[in-house]
Amino acid sequence: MINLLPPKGHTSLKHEYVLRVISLYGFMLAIVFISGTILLIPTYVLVSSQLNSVRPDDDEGEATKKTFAEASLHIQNANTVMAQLRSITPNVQTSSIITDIIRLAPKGITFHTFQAKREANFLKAIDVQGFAETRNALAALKNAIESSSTFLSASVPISDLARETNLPFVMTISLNEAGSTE
Amino acid sequence: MIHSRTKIIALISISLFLVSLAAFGGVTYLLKKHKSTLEQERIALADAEMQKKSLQDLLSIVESSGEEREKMRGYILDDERIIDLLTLIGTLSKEQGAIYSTSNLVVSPIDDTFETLAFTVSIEGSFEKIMRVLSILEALPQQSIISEVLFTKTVEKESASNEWQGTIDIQVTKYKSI
Repeated sequence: MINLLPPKGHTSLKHEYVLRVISLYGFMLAIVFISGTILLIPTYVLVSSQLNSVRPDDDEGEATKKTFAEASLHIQNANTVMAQLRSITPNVQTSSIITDIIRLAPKGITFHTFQAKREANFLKAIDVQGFAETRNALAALKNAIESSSTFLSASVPISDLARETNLPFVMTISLNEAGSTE
Repeated sequence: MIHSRTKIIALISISLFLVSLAAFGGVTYLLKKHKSTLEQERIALADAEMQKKSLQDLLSIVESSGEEREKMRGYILDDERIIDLLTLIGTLSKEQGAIYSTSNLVVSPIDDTFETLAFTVSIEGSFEKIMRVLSILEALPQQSIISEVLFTKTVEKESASNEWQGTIDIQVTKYKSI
């Protein structure tokens, strides 16, 4: 093929040709991207509507939170009361201890004072005062108490054992740790 | 020399390409973001559903335990029932035929919710009567503890008389006054 164009014109034509090819590719790619964008729009709308439908309702959320807080408060209060009720559990009833001591007393023993004081809600010992007709009666009381599973020991001051008959006595009776009654 | 129409066409082509690229990129970015948010929201929704179920369980526990909780609450004294309690103790003591009086009412705190109402009950009567009063006080319908008991025969100690006097210190748990 004979090129009748001058060299300058040939170069210019070549540049124009390249520019037109680039423009063509530009248009083609633009068409591809526009088509792609248009095709993505339904998907975008679908995803957006799904997103709107799963978004939590603020009012409902607040109401749920409030209900939960109220329910938790009820349970918390119940736990507080329960903890308090469990914190004070007497190991033994004073009346049952006094009844046990009287039941164990042999003939010839009379009581005139019972004193029981709890330490940290636990009854550990009880002080009794009374009269024993004989020293043997007092010894029998001491033995009976010490043989009982409710009591640990019964201590009587030696000075109280000086007389043979009509002995006034003071006795400190210690309870078993478990505090179980017979 | 490039033709002016070619230049215009090239300019339009490049502009259109850039705009369509930006639009495509923008839509793709937004779609990706929405999808990611949708996944997170779905997970949150599933969590919320589980929490709702837990809340329903909790509410059913609260509802079913209402009576027991109220009963348990009743084991602790409140301000309105102090007079009722003291009246009850007085009535029961009198029913047992024991002479009765109450003294030394002291309130001391336990914690932020509870406090202790301590008082002394003085009684006089036969040993059986004061023992019955003690048993009744030990079985009060509120949480209480007999902290100290002192029973003493009132007449000559060697005599066969059965007249006794007793002081019973009681500590009753109560709700703190508001």
